Amino acid sequence: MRGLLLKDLINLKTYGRSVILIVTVFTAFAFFSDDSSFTTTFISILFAIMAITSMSYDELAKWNIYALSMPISRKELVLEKYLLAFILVCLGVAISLIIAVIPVFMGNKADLLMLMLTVLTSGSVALIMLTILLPLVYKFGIEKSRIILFIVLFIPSILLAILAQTGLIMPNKATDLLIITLLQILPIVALVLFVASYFISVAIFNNKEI
Amino acid sequence: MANALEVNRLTKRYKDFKLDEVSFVLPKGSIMGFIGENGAGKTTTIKAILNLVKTDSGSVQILGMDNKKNEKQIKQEIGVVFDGSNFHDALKAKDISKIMKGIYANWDDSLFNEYLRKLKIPIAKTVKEYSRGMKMKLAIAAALSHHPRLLLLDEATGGLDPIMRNEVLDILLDFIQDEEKAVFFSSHIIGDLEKIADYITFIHEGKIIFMESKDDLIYNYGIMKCGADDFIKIDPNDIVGYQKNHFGCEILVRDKSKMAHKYPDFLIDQTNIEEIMLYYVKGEKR
Repeated sequence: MRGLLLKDLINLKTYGRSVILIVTVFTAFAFFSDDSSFTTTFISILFAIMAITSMSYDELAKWNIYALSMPISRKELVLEKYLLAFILVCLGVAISLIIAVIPVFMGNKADLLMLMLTVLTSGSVALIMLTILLPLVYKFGIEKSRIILFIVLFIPSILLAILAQTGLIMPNKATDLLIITLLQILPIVALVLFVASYFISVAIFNNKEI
Repeated sequence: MANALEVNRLTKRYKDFKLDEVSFVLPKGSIMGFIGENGAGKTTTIKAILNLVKTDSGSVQILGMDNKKNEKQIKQEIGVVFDGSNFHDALKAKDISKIMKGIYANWDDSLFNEYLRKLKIPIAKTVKEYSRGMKMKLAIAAALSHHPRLLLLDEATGGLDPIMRNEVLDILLDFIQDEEKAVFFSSHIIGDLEKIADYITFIHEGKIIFMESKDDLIYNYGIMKCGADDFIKIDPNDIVGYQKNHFGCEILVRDKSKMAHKYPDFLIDQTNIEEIMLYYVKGEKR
């Protein structure tokens, strides 16, 4: 497990450098705008995608078959990826939080609790994205999953946008409260789904011919 | 336990291919060459040995342990090299050392460094900058550095130039000096196998055609030459495979000395593994 994590972290080093650069640019962007929710969501997704990137590196090197010739079980191979994904999402959340909170300390007026909620929500969205994507990658490989990622990410966003346009959801006090309550339990829901996704991936990978 | 590897009636069915009751035995202290044309089932056999594909029937014993029940323990004690390198482009030799230390209980840094030096593998470069031969040598060094008792190599000398191949073969011969160890080595570079193998197992269309000691193979088989008219006089049971040409027939026969006695009029030549393989695969049968 330690060896596998180390392998992924070393491989992601170069990629990580570009991510830091992008994060810096977007941090500057967040300072000039009032709303940091876009930046935090973007950063969370960016970090989550690093887990998928590490899988495409593995695929390129034909690593999995080699790893399975070592004292590593299929279950451990999957577990390590989920662990890596979780660590990366946590890292994304932590960085988002810092970016979101700094303007507050610099005198910007903002509700700290609301900010936390925004950041946790973007982390949850990233986690849910991986929840859907990881089993798909184990089933179909990286190439096909890329297309599915597009669908997974964009269809809900478009639907939501359309829904907002039609005015079916009218923002008022009651719905706001409902949404906030829903958002508060979202991280727990995301975590539960993520764990369930792990078991699904193990089942898929166990049945796969390498 | 005298055998490093025992494969017993291993069967695996695909839609258009079948690994058919493959059996062979690799004694400790020896090197087995596993030969056959592309698509004959070499890689499938190795995957089945490693429990990477589900088999329909049969069993595999590695170092006296069942390959499914004791998988973890077995894999601590074997080294595997696949066709091509499986290391990521961004890695350097010292990264690989760190990673392997986290995977193998017996990983030996100084042994790895010694192999890197012996095989002249550049340590400052990343895998991406390596030639195919360098990648191959790196994979072999990595496979040897956790003190394995059995090495499984799948086409591991492909892509190496003759000088590199010799370096690798020397290292394998060195490895086998310890009588407790063994090497299983699939290749279609027959020359390599003739140099170092003690046993040759030949697979063709998913079936094992023979498993014999290399010396017996070269000593017992022969190419018998006769005129086209004489061909019908030969007992079909004596013909392993034959080829007809302008001057007559060339027939691969088993048990050269017995044949020389039975057919005193015909000339019987020495043969080699490559010829034997060719007659089995390409030669006609009567």
